[in-house]
Amino acid sequence: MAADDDFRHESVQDRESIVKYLRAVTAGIEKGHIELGAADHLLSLEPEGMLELQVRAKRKGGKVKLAIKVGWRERDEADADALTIKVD
Amino acid sequence: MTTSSEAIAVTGVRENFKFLILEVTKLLEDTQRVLVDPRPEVIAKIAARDDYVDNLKSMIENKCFRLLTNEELDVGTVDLIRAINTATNNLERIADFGVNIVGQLGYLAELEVLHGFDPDPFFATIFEALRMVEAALFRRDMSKALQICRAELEVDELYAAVFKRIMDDLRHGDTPEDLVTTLFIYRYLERTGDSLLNIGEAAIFATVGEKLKVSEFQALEETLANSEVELDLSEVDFEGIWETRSGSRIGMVHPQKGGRSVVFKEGRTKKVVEEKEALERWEQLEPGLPPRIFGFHDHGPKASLLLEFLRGDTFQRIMLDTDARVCGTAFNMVTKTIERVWTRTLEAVPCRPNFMRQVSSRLPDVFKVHPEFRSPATRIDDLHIAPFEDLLREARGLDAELVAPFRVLIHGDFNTDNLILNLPQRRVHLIDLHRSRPFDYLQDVSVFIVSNYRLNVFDAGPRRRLDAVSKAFFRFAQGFARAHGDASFEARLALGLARSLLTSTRFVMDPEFSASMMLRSRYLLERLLGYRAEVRAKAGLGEGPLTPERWADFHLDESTLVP
Repeated sequence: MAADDDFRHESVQDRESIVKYLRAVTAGIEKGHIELGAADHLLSLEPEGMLELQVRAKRKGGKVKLAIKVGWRERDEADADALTIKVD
Repeated sequence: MTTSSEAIAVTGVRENFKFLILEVTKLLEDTQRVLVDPRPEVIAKIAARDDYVDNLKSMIENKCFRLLTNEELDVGTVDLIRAINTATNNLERIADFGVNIVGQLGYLAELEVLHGFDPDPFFATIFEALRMVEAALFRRDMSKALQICRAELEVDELYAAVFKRIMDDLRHGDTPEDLVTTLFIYRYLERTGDSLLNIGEAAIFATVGEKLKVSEFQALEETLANSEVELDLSEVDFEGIWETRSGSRIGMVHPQKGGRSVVFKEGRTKKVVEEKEALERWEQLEPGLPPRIFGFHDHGPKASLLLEFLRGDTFQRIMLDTDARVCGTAFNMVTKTIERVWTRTLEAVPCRPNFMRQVSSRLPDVFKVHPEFRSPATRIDDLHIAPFEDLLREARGLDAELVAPFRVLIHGDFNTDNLILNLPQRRVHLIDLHRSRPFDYLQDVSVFIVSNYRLNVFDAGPRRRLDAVSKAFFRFAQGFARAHGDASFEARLALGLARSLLTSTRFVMDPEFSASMMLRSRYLLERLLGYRAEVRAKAGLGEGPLTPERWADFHLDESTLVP
């Protein structure tokens, strides 16, 4: 973990063991709530709305990288009152 | 090693240096005289001489530094210039001590106390040493250099006697002030001895080319004298004294007239004796496999060995520098030798390698170098990731379960650069055997594999050969395990690898590379603990330990052996 709202995990897995990690992530996305981090420093995410998904694969010099990136905008609580449109 | 370029470069300095020695000697002669009879005109002469000494020193220093910027000088000349500079500084210091002595005379109420002591033996020793300085340096006369060093011992002994007498007199006498001043005066003579030692050591440095403490030099001399090798120190070139991680020092001795080179090792007596005993044991097992011992010399807390210098390349060099064919030949030579040793020394005595206990003892050093390895408990939603230290603590229990069914004579530090191969003669040699003992062979197997892993080599060719060797060595060991009913081979090797990967990180500063080794180690431990939990659950074993047979299905994938 680096900055305040930052979580980072690095490990080495095999095909079998990596699935646990991916499942934990997908389960969190599915229920719209995912918590990451240490007990005293939890990062709580609420994926919702439009989720940008990027899947990238790269093969170079015998090394392969598969990157899955999910991004979204957090809803601004103030948004709702920002603009009132009256329809007569 | 006097070359013509050296002759030209050094001639100018040598003239100044001669004058410096002369001036320092005269200054001390005057000092000696003043101690008997402090005549003001002599004291004034001493002050003037000291100014001249300072000037000579700056002159020599300037010339030395200017010479050192000349890139064409050979190593021998550069070493000589450095030694001249060191000697010059110490000569100037000796002159200062003379001035200091004279300064002390002003504090004496009367000369009577001072005259109760005899400074002449001090001066005689110092003058004799000063007479040898030029030859010791410029003619690289080793025996003169050593004599200069020994002057310090003589002065120390003289000083010890004076010191004792002054202490006695202080207890009984009634002139404490003059006694203390006298002590100060003799203390300056004692420090003159220390400076002479520095000069002697600098002269040795100019001759043997490496910084060598006199004690080490004497060890080498005595070891040579007690050895089968008929060499005199005046006939050898000394190369590359370097410090090893274990704190011993190693150097190479080459006879100037050709002939056999030898390796000189000096270290703590216990270590050196251990190595000697291990070498004898291996020699008995297979003559010629370890280097031959030519000499051994025990000098109290330190001891030294003179060993055969083995011709050939380390296996590591061969993997890095040759091609697949040569590397394959070398690999076969290595495994044939190792298999022979394992088979011949195998004893059906179960052996617990205690890999995790080995980790524990080195863990403080690992965390000191890599504090970032301490990780807090984290989670990814419901998936809990234990702190690294908790995982290590849990893994300690594995030691009791992962026991080898037999033991063999292991190398004990089986890095690939401790294997010397003489390819033309098809000979394999093992070096650095001081940790050799009957033990679990997987200690050596894991160290061997990790010594390839941790090489920071990522060029495709060499990396491929390193990886191929690691995998082939794994299969070789696996064959031996199967032939000898070692059911827990793969699990135990996983633990051995986890140990070596983690403990090796204390020598790896690259953050990315060290992290990858730590993560690999962590992966292996998680696999082992996961496997155990699974087997326990299936067999309803509760918290009980697994027998070696129950570990038999643990599979170690070859991809875990390489970066």
